[in-house]
Amino acid sequence: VTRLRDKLPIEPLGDARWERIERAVLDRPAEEAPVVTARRRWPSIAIGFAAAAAVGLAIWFLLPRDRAVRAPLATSGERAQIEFDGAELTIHPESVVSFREHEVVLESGGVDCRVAPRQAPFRVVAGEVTVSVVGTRFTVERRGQVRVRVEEGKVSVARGEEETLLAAGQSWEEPGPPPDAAVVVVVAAPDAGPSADELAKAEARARAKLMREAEDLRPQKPEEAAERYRKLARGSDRIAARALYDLAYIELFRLRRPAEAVAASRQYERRFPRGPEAADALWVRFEAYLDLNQREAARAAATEYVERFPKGDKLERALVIANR
Amino acid sequence: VDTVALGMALPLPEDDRDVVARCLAGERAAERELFRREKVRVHATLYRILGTNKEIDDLVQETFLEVFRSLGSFRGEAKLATWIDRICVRVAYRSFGRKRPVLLDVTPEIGDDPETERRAQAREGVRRLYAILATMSPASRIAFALHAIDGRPIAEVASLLGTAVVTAKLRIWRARREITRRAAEDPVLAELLEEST
Repeated sequence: VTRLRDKLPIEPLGDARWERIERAVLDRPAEEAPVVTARRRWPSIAIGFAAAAAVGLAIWFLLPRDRAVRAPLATSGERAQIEFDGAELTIHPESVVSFREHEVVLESGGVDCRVAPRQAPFRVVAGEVTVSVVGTRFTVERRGQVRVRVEEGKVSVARGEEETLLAAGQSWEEPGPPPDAAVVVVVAAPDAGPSADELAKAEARARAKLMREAEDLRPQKPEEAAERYRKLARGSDRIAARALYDLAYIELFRLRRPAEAVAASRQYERRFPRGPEAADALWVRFEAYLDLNQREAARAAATEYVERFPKGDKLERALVIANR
Repeated sequence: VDTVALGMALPLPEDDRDVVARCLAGERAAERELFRREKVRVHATLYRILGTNKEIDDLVQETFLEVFRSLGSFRGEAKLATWIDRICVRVAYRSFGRKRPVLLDVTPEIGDDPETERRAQAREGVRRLYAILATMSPASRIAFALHAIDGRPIAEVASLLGTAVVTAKLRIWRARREITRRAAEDPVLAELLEEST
């Protein structure tokens, strides 16, 4: 049996499915980042990598990614905008910052921070000053002494035993050089109310994160992924449409619940009739009907597919079902 | 003789070294480049093993997640493509262990056109072939699919499965014997195999 290969032409996956896979792979969470281990071979690559690291580092931080960052960043004559731990940071020119878990360490220079409301604290450490926030907009500068300026919300600044509450529009300046062991902490006040814009952005970020979680869980824990897709599908945005289709897909092909797949597909059709996944949702429906042994319904859905999506990548399959 | 499949180290192509180094440096563009370069092959390999696109999305995703997660351990002892193929096979193997097999659901097309009828017959033959493969052990199923359907040399199949060549040969032989036995009672399957021999 040597030419079976020719008997089985590979059915293409289609752009929408490839797009979803690519997004799930490339936007994977931080812990999925490649781990560099000791290299027994390729010493030249290791050396080249080290040499390129200094230049590449700046590019790394400028890329729109949401990964844990663990290496320092130095700016020269220009500002750098990065996202770190869910916060938007603008690093001032001639500044040096490094990163720890939920913490930005300001070695020198300045940084503007926009932090959406959050559960885990977010801190900026500037010498002996530590700024912890849960949702506000502020600037920390460290050029000799440390200065904190609050633009939105409220923060409390602690330095050693002293603590000062700052409201929007107020600023604070370190009174002289810090004593060796003194620590100044700036914490957002609990009533630092976020603006509507901040809330909307936070909501969008939370939904994007939930979607990443769902995509990550899909291969091993489809039930948990489905639960997240159900939550996401309650919205009315682009993510809701995608989540509804993904829900229909895994209900059918992973969880073997064709009736639920039909329900999700029908909901997609009702809420997002012109959505990018409309064709695929219809495909899932006629496959689900086949699983339910509802031949007539399957044929009707397949016929609808042929009529509505004559260029769809499931056309051949739909024709087979429609012609039965 | 495929020296890579036999486990002999060859100099790694420059573009492999480059893309791996850039991925390890966290360069997103390099990850995208690697994904787009390998995605068709990964899909094709999984498709030959599964015989269908049902559920293949998750396996393709799982393969690439494992590729990027493990890239730091890639030593350059085989071509990058071969290393990715091994991951692909591992993912397929694991998937067979955790869920019931997915069978192609292809019914012959209706029509008087001889060409349509011939294609429908071939598709039905393919469906029956994969239905038989689904009853076999994951190792036999994958070995047969990679060798007899995907056309890979036995040495490469052995390397991808991490077994001795003789073990791979035995698995393929057993699978083929069973398929041939079933084909004796099944003219549609027999025709598929006959035309393919």
